[in-house]
Amino acid sequence: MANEREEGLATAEVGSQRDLLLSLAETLIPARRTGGRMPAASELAEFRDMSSEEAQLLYGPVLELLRTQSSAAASQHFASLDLQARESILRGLESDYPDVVRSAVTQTLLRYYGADAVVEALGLEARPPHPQGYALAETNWALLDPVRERDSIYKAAPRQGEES
Amino acid sequence: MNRADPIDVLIVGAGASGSAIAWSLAETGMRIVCLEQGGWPNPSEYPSTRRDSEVLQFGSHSYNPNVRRLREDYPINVNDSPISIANFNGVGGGTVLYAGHFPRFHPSDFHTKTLDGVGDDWPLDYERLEPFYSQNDRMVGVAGLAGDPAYPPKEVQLPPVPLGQGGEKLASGFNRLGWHWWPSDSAIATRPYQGRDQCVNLGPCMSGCSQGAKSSTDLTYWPAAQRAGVELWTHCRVREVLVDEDDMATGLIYYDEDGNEHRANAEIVILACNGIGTPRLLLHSKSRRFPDGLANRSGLVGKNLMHHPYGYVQGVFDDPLDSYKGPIGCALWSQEFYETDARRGFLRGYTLQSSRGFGPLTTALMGLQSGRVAWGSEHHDSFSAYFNRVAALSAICEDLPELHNAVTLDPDLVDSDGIPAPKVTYTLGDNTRNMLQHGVERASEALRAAGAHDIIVQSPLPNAGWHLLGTARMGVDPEHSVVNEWGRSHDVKNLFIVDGSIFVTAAGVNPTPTIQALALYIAEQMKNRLANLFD
Repeated sequence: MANEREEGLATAEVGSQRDLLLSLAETLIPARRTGGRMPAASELAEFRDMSSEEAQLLYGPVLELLRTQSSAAASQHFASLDLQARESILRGLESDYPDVVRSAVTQTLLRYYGADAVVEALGLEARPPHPQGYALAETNWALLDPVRERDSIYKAAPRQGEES
Repeated sequence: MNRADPIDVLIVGAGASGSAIAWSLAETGMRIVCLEQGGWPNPSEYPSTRRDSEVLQFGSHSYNPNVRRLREDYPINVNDSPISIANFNGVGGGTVLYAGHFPRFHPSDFHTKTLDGVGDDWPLDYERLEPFYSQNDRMVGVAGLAGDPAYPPKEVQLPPVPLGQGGEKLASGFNRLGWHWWPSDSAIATRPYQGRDQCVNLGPCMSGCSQGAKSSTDLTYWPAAQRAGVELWTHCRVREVLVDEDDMATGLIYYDEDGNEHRANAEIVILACNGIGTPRLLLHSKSRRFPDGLANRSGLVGKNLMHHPYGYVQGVFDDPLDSYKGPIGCALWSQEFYETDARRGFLRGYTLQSSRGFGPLTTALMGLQSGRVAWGSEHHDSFSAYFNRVAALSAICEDLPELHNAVTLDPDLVDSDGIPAPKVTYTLGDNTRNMLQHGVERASEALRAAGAHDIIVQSPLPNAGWHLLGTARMGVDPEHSVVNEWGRSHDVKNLFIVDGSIFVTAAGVNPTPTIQALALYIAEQMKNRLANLFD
């Protein structure tokens, strides 16, 4: 019975941490719905499927701050606040703990812009550059005409005898 | 050949210069062995073959060895330098990770003392090196366009790299200002060349070219040198050069991949380990005859370290530019401010080199750093205004030789074989600082003339110690130089140095063509003097 209760608490804790992580990810990179839809970070498998160990490794300090200070300040769990309120709390934390928030932003950008769904939403192909590569139009070298009209601009080497 | 059989020439380092001299000396029929501390790079494993290519460039494929931290890398203490060091320890050396931007020195670069009263004159000149520049160009396959008014006449082998939309905007900006620009000489095969396929505009040249279009020496000199009989021993890290009581080098002590110690004897030793690795090895090769390090009776080994401090300026444009496509560092250059004009507040000059933009991840991270990309509700708008809308110019400044800029041995830090790591002590001189400021201002002006509405400056670029020069300089006077006018040590007459450490001055251009031309020139001198090479 005691074991079941402990397992239940652990599951609840993991669920709570997951909610916190996804709400953080969505706050850092929310969805864009106009001018070309972009997914929120929290919609991506890169965040939804992140193990609690990885989340702790990458986001541990900021999650801890959100669990303690921000929830206390707002008298509500961070994840239950609306986007605007969460951003406001995070901006406050950023001024007090810039390195912690910067690290969380960097980790989020790394995963967000590595995701196929995001790359495709940007209108790009989600593939390695090689082997297909990319096409570049040939240059019209008539652009160089004004430069071609110039005399040489390099300085000649000193003649023998002028050397120091 | 058995490894224990007698060796005529031992070369340390399989990069730009080691490969070139190995190839050139091969025709002598001597037994030539090159020891390289890394292995053969595998182009099929370069980041551009992977979906996560951008992430890999920040870690395992970084050009910073202190980030990469592979077994074959050695740590470099840069705590006393605003510029960290870039290199690659493997066959091809720095050419595996360079951008392929391939300018020659100019005639004036060899005469800075005579012309401008700074630095020193080289003991050779452009005219003497020109045949070796050309020989190297043919091996490399240089893409470009003949007729650049910033240079004496020279040939190119291949059509230039396309400018792309960003490059064309920059070109229009230069034209608007009436300034010089020209398509870069690039070590990139824009058409199939000598067995290499042509460039397909992958973008991240600086983490290796999976296409094989970029001219790294694992693809150019080494196959030819090996066909001619040169042996390349990989994963062999040299600890010291040995000398006898007659001040002649007798061979090397090195460690194999498993850390086992070996000795290799030879008649001639050639160092090609770059401007950090060569002084490190010389300073660590102490003996009773050379208590301050080998070939260091001048006291100049490790001194006069020169970089090319970069003033990196991004312009943000309204229109999309396809800027993540194409060779990142090769499109065009401007040498409007290359030759000295003392009214500018500094002597010597710089090149403005264009570069393209980056993929989405790198753009986001750089934008975060510069404050152009926000997180939160403004993220997408700020990112969209930045991604694919960037073209950049770098002012590549001529650094001057200054004794206090130095490579020494770190008292504590060691590599994976226990060999002391190099420590770099470097500060920007006043002339360089003024030049950087001027370069940043002119780059900003050109970008605005091209239509950029936002300018982002990083100066000096911190992670840009790509060019490592001057730490075992050449000259005719043994008191003021480490090697003579054809690369032979003044103190040890069968020891040669052929990498960027023998540069007298740095010029305001990327150094690889000059490093390789010098190596070919020194090889020619050695071949012509074989009968009395040690006199």
